[in-house]
Amino acid sequence: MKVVEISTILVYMVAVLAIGIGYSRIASRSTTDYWVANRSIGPFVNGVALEAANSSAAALLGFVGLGYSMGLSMALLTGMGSGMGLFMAQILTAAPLRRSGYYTIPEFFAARFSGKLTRLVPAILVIIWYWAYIIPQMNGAGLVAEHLLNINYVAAVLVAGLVMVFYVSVGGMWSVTWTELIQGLLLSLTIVTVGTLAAVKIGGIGILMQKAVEARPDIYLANPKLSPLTYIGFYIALVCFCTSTPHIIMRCFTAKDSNTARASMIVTLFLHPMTYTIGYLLTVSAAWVFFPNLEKADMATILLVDKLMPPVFAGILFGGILSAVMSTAGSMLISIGAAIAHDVYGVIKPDAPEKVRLNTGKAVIWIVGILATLAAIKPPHVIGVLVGLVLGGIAASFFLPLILGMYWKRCNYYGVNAGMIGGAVTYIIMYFSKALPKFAEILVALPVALVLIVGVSLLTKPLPTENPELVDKIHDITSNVSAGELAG
Amino acid sequence: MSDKKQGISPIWGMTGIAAILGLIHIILVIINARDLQNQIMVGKMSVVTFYLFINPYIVWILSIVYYYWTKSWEASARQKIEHETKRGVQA
Repeated sequence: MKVVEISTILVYMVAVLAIGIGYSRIASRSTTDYWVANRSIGPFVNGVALEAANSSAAALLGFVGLGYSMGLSMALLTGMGSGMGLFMAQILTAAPLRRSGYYTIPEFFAARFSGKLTRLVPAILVIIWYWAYIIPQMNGAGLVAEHLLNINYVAAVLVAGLVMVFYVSVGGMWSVTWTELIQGLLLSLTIVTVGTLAAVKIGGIGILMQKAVEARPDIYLANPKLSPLTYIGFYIALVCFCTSTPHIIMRCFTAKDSNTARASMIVTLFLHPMTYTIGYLLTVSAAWVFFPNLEKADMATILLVDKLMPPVFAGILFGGILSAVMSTAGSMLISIGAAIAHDVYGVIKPDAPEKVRLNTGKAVIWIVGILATLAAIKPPHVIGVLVGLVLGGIAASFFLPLILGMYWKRCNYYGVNAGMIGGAVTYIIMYFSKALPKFAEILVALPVALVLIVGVSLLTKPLPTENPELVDKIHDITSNVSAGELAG
Repeated sequence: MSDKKQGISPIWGMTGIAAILGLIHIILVIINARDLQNQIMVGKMSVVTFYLFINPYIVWILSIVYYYWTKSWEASARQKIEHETKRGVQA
């Protein structure tokens, strides 16, 4: 056991639990408090929280491993793709969704297209995709604790899972937001600090890069063994994912107003390159210099922390990795909770009192969180690849239905449901058939979704209960009252 | 909202710029990632890797530009609507 590191982690755990307990009363005031932090978060906190939600275990472990095994360009590609996706979210979705005044993406779909199916389909897709996404996050926590702290893997997964479920369930979006502020700053510093220390130890960035090239001559080249379709598909999947994924988009609903939602993205995009460019350049290079024969590439960051950091700092940096895990998993957990308690339960029992809906949300978060933690005890192997499957699936399911639903009045109930289901099913079929190179499945799934949404919308009549006027309302820059608030 | 009088909408202007940035990446990958020997280099990095490295910084600057562009564009749109409303009332 490493006493100093474990003590540092305990301080971190106590801090996030205290935030959860501290916000439990405020979060229980209303569903608006619980699911969207009373729509009162400013741009700095919201922006840091957004970066924390965006950066998962894959960002600190899996993508460094990807850079180690496939060349730096693949690690940097994750930065360009997700950065561009966040920028597209700032342009296309942030302000209109904040103006909509709803709590969740399924609720927006239901308001725009009416019908139970338009609320249930995205809610069920959120549950399936995020369930798969949380498991590798918890797996990352276990791996790190096992190797860095010499703690039993199962015990580490259980402790991290229970702490996360506790603060998410009692403090709702309030505690998710404030824990993510700490987590976002910690994780942004983690990789840069490890990489910088490695560079200092070697004698500077230039020497580090020179030694990395000596260890692996093609480290900074575009990998010719990878199909261009892999590069392009991975990039497009990341862009579409970050523009439309509900756990990131929920941050638009928590912002004070539409301008704050857009300003949050500036903060996020300032922090983003710290991890995804300079952080990856230094860490991937250092991994090749210090560990040229790594068998498990995902372990590169952990081994560097272990080798380069004094115990207290190693504990803090482990806190950074744990932050990446907990912030993303926590955001997804609250998205799943909202999908089940607000959307699915909202369809089954539309007249349920607010108190009952709130308690249902808390219970759902406990059940889903514990099930995900237990599933992570025997998890799948490579974090990055699994995240690749999930991110493409979310991109194929949500990107086009959301964008066309927000910008095209002719888009209707039948078209959006056909596109959402068709995009997801095509992606899954392409993924498991292995007909295309890795990560290129999205290049088929997106056009299929587009053809289905446009074709079916043009061939069918909209339901009389649809609300195409919502498109005008969410783009109305003169209105101070959101569409959701108008609808009650 | 009449886009013609106020100039191009920041939404479509920036979406266009983002698409161009993505397209540059795709073109660089297609022409420069075919083999290890003939890649165009920028220092120790291939041009593809270098572009991937600098792109998030370009995007951050664009996000600031977009924020202020939208603010001024929306302010001018509001002014125009107010002006038209006043003219309507007077008429």
